[in-house]
Amino acid sequence: MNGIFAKEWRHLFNTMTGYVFVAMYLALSGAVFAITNLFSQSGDIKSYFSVFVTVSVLIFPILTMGSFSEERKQRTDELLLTAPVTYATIVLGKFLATLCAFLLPMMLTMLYPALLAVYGFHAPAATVGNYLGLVLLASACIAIGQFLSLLTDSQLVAAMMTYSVFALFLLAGASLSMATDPALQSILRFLAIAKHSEGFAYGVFDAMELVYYLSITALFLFLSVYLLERRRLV
Amino acid sequence: MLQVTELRKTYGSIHAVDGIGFTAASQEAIGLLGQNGAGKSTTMRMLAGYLAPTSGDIVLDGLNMAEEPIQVKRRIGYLPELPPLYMDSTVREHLRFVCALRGIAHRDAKRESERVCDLLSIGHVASRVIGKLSKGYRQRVGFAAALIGNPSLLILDEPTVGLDPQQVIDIRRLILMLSKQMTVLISSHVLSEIASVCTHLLIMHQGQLLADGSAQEITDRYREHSLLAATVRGERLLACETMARLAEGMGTLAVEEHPSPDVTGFVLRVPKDCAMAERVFQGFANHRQQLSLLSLQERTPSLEDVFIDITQGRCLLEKNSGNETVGGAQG
Repeated sequence: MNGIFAKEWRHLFNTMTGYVFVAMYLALSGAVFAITNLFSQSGDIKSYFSVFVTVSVLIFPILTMGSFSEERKQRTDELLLTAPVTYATIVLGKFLATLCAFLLPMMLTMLYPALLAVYGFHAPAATVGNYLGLVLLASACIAIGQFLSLLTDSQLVAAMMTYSVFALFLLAGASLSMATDPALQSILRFLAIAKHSEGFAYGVFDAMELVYYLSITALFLFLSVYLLERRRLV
Repeated sequence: MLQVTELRKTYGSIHAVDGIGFTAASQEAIGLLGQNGAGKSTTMRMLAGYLAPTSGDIVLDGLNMAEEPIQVKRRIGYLPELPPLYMDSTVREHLRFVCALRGIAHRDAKRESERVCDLLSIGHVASRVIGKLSKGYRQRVGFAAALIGNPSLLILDEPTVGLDPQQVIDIRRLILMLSKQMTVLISSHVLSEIASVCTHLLIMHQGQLLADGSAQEITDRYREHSLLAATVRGERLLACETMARLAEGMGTLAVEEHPSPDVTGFVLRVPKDCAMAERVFQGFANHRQQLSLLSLQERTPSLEDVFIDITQGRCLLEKNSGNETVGGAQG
């Protein structure tokens, strides 16, 4: 898996993809931190995360859109799929490299809570909880995005599909308060992927939400492996 | 040793590969010949493990691809028609990545990359980005990647496409050398290329394996026709009528242009041992006042003639090397 991880990481940062992602991540998170904390003179890190978690959903497709679609387009999938490695290794190697590419700018944003701490606003549990929630959300979104990039050989189409799915998730979250039917509410709550990290925002470790994110991640990684195997058969 | 049994790949009602079977020895070069759409690339993709067969078995060195795919893939080097290369990587990075994919330890990867670079003479471009290389160099990088790990089966799909004549010669030499160490399976449309490097030929047509053996065996087995080339001086219309009458019911006739306006060339494709030459001599003797038979030459069909005959269904086709007849004779 090391080889695939290293290749994927190198590919992200040999091309513009990784840099565009890091730049957009830092620009968006900086803007959100400035608005929610600096301009409003708030020391509460939760207000930063409550906005940024939703906004971050919009930048994941940059990382995942070319993950498999570009391999197919360039025919390099023939190299991967004829190599003596399992399909699970390929999918996991790519997933972990992409997740690490997400963690890189995320770690830089740890400067924000550190800055607040300098001014006396300490909230270690909420900070750790929020970062954990963000990582869990990222892993689920990356797994979904990678799966969608397997469905096409066009990066653009993969990005459009991923944005559409994520927009649906955000819409579900936005309409949650408007739904009165309990059945509809539970469906919307399930789909509102960003909402599930709210518990972590208050420093509450909710095992159900952890299972939710890990299940979605595992499901879409499994579907990616299944699709690769299925494609070999037909 | 590679053993392929009843290999089949179907897409709906289309039989891309239709129950082919052959055996390849450990150290030989096998040429897979066929027209476009014959099923060569699909066969190679199945052998490389990229596609799963609908049915049939691929056994390499006693290991079955369906049961132990990782072990079998470890023994296979594969160069598709379009080399699978990461254009943003340098040659060295790409080869190191392939080493990692093939499970070669990091400390040995440098040595292995240098070994294949030397074989393909690409050491001087090792630090260059693949996307900036010429098509010929990219082909050689793809070839080098296929050689990593010293596979026991090397599958090369059109390996000389895009190379200049000197590079083609170098690659043929390399294939000849490699065929003394491993099984090399090469597909090509270029008959001369296959004939120059392969000792064992497979001819595919419409998903079926129609011939399997050495070039000599195949030409002997399928040499059901002989070719008769004749040049005749005299009135063209009369010469054509005379030759057509002689060839009627015996075979096919082609008229060839000749630099001299009063000379006509003919090529007759007739069944073996039908004494056509005597018949032509006698036929023209009857018209010696008007026509002169300048030359008459019986030509042995080349591998190319046999290939055309087989793929156009002119031969009685034997399925694999067995006796089952799957086609009929024409003309």
